[in-house]
Amino acid sequence: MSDEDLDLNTLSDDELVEQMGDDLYDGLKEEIEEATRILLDRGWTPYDVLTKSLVAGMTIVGEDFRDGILYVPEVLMAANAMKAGMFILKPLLAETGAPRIGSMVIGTVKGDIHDIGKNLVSMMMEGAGFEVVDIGINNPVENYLEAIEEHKPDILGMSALLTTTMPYMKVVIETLVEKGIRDDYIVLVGGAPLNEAFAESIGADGYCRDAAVAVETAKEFVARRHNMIGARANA
Amino acid sequence: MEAREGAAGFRHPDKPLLILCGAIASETQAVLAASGLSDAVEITALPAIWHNFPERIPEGVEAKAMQARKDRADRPIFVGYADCGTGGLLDAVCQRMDLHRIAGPHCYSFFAGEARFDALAEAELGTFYLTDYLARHFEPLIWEGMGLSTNPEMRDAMFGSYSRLVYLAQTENAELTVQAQAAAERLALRFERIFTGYGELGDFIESVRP
Repeated sequence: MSDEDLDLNTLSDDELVEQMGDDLYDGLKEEIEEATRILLDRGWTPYDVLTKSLVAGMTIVGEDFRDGILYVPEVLMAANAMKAGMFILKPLLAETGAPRIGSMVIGTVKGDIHDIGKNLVSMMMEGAGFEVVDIGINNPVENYLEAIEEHKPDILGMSALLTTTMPYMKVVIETLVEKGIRDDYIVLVGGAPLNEAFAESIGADGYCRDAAVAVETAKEFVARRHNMIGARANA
Repeated sequence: MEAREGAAGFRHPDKPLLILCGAIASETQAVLAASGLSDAVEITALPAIWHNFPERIPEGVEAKAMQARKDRADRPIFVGYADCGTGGLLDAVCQRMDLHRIAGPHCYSFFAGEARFDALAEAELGTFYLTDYLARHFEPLIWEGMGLSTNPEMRDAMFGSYSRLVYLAQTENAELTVQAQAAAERLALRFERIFTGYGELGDFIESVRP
């Protein structure tokens, strides 16, 4: 039987999740929508559909992009398919009280209009249970300050694709230091020309080489932060 | 007299070595020739496609430099790259091995001149740049190299934040201008052409003079 004839309803849960991984990889939006609905109809919680099928599938897409197997357009198509699934799940997630892990303000720095990586990070972070406020591209330090003041996130995320714009991340961090609020936030940075050494040199808490790593790094830092707050409260 | 090939594959260990990006090889040769330095320097090129994979550049340069220094430990080595998206990692290699690279962030900048390039970027952030090489090889390097040949419908998702394409021309070549203009049309961007010549590449080549 060819894929075109495949009736997703006939698949077991495990087979369907595996098929969703393939469909996400191929950027098949309608198939993802259909499979999402099938899993919900079978009694899956929206959170499980999100994490066990969509996020898991997108993690593989991210890894293959990093390894040079997939190109940007293919990743964007996969992201569009995932977004379509998330569009169905989002209102249900709110109703069913899915776990909220933390919050993040994210934006591309001043002078930089690139947002593909940032958008992927936003989507994956949302998928992992983070509340994400995306302030877009070309952000001067004032925009970051305004957004963190308004939303009080756990994490401030900054993205840059250019060698010429990545130093601006340091400007933002130094401004946080000057204002005495640096330690109020976990600062994560990412973007193609960045690396661990750069992140460390500008005083960021972590460098995230891709969206999946961003999610894992964010979870780790937020858990550590909550533990510290808990320890202080119990002291 | 033809020089003996060195153990590491270099033919002229007595001369300074220039390790360069394949995407500026012909421009570099033109500048070397104009400066009378063609025979004074040995050149070796790394793949131009690394324009799309800058993370490969530091390691590639380091490997070439190490090979060259096997022949002659004190050989002067120059690097025909700017930072080129390596985020300082190429600089770390250069510092570690005492190599000298072209100043600036990338080839657009050293061809246009840093001040002019900054002004261009400032005037319109959403600018996509081509050089002679990129205009000539737009199809394999950009269209196919970025995966648009298989999924052209994703063009606007990838280039939606861009509004213009600036062709920084190193030479007066009507055919390349036509190709650059066609590239702009393909990406649905406004086209502009600026003649730069070889810009600051000339200053760098002067520094190579033994």
